[in-house]
Amino acid sequence: MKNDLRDRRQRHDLSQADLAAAVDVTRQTINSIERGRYDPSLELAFDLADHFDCRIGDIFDPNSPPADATG
Amino acid sequence: MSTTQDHPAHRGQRYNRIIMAVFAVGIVSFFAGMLLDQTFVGLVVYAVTCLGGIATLLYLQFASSVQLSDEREQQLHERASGTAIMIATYVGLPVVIGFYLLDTLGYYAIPPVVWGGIYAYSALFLLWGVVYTVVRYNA
Repeated sequence: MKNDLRDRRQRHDLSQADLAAAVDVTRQTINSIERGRYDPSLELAFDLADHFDCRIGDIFDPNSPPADATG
Repeated sequence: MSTTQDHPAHRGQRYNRIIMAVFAVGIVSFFAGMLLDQTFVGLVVYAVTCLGGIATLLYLQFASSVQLSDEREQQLHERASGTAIMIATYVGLPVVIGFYLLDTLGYYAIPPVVWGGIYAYSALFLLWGVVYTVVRYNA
């Protein structure tokens, strides 16, 4: 699923490891989400939205294909 | 800025890697023991490392607050397990049926070691069925 997580993270001057620590996942998971290769669970999506003080739909594009479909 | 080295997911990932390395040491020791004619020593190292690894995994998973894997890692495990079962089904079943046919038609007598493999193969699916039923019941 397409998302603007990388842009948001960089705007907040966070590394992937910083963001991973903030939402309690591994850095590899953040990297996979940013590359559109992994779609997070609803719980993680809420955590990410909470962290950036926005809504899930602001980060993720619901009209893009899921990660499994894009490979 | 918060520290990135001590949060639970990172710690769990580190523990997981250490335990996998311990398993690898055990397996390599087992084969090295056979190659160097030190089978018993290799077996002892294999047993200690693997049983220790299993005990540590069980402790971390069920009796500690450590999170061994995050959600993406769990999804990868699920996909790998599903793919492994699918391969075992689509490749293994025709092979087993082929053995039965050849044995019944008198072209090939299934030896005990192959029967052992067939029983193990059947037990794998029986185990999968039981686990699936329990998981589905609790879902």
